[in-house]
Amino acid sequence: MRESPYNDLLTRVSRSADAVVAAVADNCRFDERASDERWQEFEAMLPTSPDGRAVHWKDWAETYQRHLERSFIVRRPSVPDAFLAANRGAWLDGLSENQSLVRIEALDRPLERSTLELDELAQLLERDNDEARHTVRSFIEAWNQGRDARPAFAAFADEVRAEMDDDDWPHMLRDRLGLGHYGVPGDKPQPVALMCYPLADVYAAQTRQPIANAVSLPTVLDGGMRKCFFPAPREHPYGATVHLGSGLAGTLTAEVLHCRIDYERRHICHLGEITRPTRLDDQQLREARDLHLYALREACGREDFGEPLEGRA
Amino acid sequence: MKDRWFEGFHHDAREAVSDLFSGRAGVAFETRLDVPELLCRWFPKTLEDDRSRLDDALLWWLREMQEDYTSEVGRIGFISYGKRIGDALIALQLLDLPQARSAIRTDLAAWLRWLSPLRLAPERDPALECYQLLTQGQPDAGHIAMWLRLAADGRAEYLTVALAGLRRLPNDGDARQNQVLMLQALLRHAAVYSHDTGGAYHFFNRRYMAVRGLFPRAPTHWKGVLEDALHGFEHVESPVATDLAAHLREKQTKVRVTAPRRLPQFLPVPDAEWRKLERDIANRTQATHRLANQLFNILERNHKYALVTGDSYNFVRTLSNLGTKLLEHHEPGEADMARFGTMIERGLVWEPANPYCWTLWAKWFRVQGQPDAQEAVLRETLRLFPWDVAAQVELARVLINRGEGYWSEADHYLDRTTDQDPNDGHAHVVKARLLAYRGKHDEAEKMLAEFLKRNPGDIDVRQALDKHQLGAHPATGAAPGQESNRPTTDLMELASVSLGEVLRRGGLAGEFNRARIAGHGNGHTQLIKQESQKGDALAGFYSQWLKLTDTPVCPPNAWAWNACLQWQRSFVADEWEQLAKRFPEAKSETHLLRMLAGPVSSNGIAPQYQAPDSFPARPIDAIMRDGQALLLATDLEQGKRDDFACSLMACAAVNPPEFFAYQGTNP
Repeated sequence: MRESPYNDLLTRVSRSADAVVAAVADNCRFDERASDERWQEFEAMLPTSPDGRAVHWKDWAETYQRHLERSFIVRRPSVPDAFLAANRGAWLDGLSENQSLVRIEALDRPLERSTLELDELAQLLERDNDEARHTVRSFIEAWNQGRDARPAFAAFADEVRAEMDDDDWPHMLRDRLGLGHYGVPGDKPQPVALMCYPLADVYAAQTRQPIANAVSLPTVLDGGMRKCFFPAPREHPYGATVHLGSGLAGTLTAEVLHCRIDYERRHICHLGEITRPTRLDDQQLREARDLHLYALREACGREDFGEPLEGRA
Repeated sequence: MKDRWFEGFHHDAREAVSDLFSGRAGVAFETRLDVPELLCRWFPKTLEDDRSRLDDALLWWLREMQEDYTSEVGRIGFISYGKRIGDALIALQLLDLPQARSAIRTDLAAWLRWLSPLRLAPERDPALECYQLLTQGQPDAGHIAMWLRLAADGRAEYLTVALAGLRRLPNDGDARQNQVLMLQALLRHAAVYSHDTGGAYHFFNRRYMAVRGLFPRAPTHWKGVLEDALHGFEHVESPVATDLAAHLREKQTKVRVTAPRRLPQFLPVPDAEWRKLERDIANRTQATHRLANQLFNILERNHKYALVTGDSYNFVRTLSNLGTKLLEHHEPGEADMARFGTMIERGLVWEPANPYCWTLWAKWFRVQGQPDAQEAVLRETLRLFPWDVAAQVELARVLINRGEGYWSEADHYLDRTTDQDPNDGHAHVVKARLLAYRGKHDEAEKMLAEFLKRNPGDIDVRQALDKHQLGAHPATGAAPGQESNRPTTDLMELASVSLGEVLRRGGLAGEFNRARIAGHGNGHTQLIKQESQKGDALAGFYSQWLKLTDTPVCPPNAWAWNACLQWQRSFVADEWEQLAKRFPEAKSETHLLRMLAGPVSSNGIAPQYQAPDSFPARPIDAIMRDGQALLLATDLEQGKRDDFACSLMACAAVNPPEFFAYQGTNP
């Protein structure tokens, strides 16, 4: 844990009875990839009190929101902090271009902007004529117009091929990739697209922009203050998603952050809906995070990494 | 987290929403979804009561953010402020919440005034999100003109929203009108998309196919739809538009299908019909009420034609031509005048950059005996068309009648007019009247006499001189305020939304001009200060130009305000380049200002800016054309440069269309 005037606050909060709050505090305590420079920038945005005593958790939450808006969910053509020199330690270079990435994209906004329903889009994608092809192209152009420059979390296609090919891919992949935000009890269906694209497209986008770095390892300051994120030890070659399936959180799936790319029709692999909730109550979250922690420790040979939630006072 | 937030929501929905956007609710710890998507998941249609409360809370939150503009921007900065406002508007879209949407629609001018300067990027444009919101639940065809204007904006994202708006137009089950208007929108965008016809044609064709993908119909059907769209496109005047239309017509003739005959609603009133009415109005052969009714009948039919084709040419020309003649030759009754007023506002909805509509509106207020409204309309006219001689003289006349406090400003406009056109007789007559009020009878006589030496045939000036020589001139100081019988505040209460905004802008312009003429900034500039503190782009520009103390930080998307800062602080070329990069849509304006700011080298101007030769699409185009000519023709002194720069920036500070964005189609 890095030296910080806010360590007392984080340690105290990590003992919270609220598993979500404890998880987020843990993410801040365990992260080994965000640089001091980035942390200092975050801490400078906190309300007052350099000793950290007068800062409340709500202040932390509010600051996190502003920090996200300023350095992660950035507008075009800004570059997110993840790809700036301040994050150099978490850059991921030297990857083979000849591999594909996957991610799930929510389609609420692009469908609204284009006044299309999900099934209309699906039919247009299936129709084999010029008109339909141009309509789909217009849809994708409008979608790209509306997307900001936030980094994309992505996994490697060959590692999750089984889930991608499954008829129930929306839920299978949602769980495998730890996308706890898709599917809360009582939700209406979430229209989603499975996007699959070569890493080469990411590098091409990097060259066009141009930015110093295209792929990096996720840190807690890159949208990582949330319950389903778990920081990986510095020895781990990638980020690792928290599997949401019951008893499966020990399955580590590689994930990276990459710079924004413009989507194309060939990137759309499937359309679908997430209809079932994730079943992750407080106790299950604690169990899943501990299972994930043990798997990370074992994978990296770091018995000292992190701290289980179980048995905390 | 969701349960806890909902607990708070049921206790105090407004505070819960506020905590959600600020991050204090800690929801980001739970989810990576943005607030709109999150709310969309949390409030399915089945939760009717909760959705209604959310609707109210979101509207309340938006209004609070607007109210607390200065403190919130100071606290969280434009990046977070704009993002959150945009998110709230997107949430309203995704949830399809009617109450806030309706409130925004009915007071759109005020919303856009606040939202437009907050744009940071195509995907961070609160005004665009506002427009997108209005694509939903359109009660009538009142937004057609607005959608077509958005389509003619060069920005691709604006075309996307315009097409969404036109696709969602209510149509009583007949989508043909939507199709015609969508093609019309594509044509207008294509005409600004590319500087060459080939590029415009390629763009149009590609997007035309995309529209056809949404409405699968036979080729015959589309041929007819395209023909109607092309008819509606005839009066969009630019070289690319003309060539594009010709190219498409040529292609149409090669298609071996016959388009169905055009339906009556897709045809304007025949020319012969309105020429007959023109003669009848001039000859005074019929009762005024009957003539007015005939005019309204033609206007209604041409308006209907505009609604189905997007072509307002016939409607607006009939209005400005025959309408002006009716006002000049007749005295319509109260009911006819009221209806006429509605028609003029409709005309401005379609063509807010048309100087004839503005002139007609000012005339209408004069006939109605509403000098405050007339003054405001004239001020806005002069903001848009700063060298409109008739408007300057008329405003001077109104200001003289307001009383001594306004005479300096009247003087300013009259001097400007006579400087522009030394042979403008009307300006000399009004100037003589002002001199007489000031007790300078000899000076007035001398001025008129000298004018007559140059222009012996000017009857009006001759009569005015005779009156002065007979001693029938206005008594010294006898003018004060006799036309100002209805204070602006009362009028504001009576005003339509459009007029309300014009009165506001008029108030700002009045304060600005008086302060500028007086040569001090911190006098009576209360309204400018108040409005600039809310981020208003026009007030901000005025405040910046006058260098008022406490001028707030300039919002990101206020070109004129930014350009004014640049004008005042630096003539460094690199900084002008940066400004041009930040505002690509105002590149030509920035370039011209740069030329005005530095040592003039007019060689660089001509290739950069080519204003349309014909009726300009935007008032700024006319100013740019004049400015270019000015720079090329003369060695400008600093005062003229300042005056021109000020006029240019004031015109570009806010768009005229913004306050005519919505006008219901039912009279």
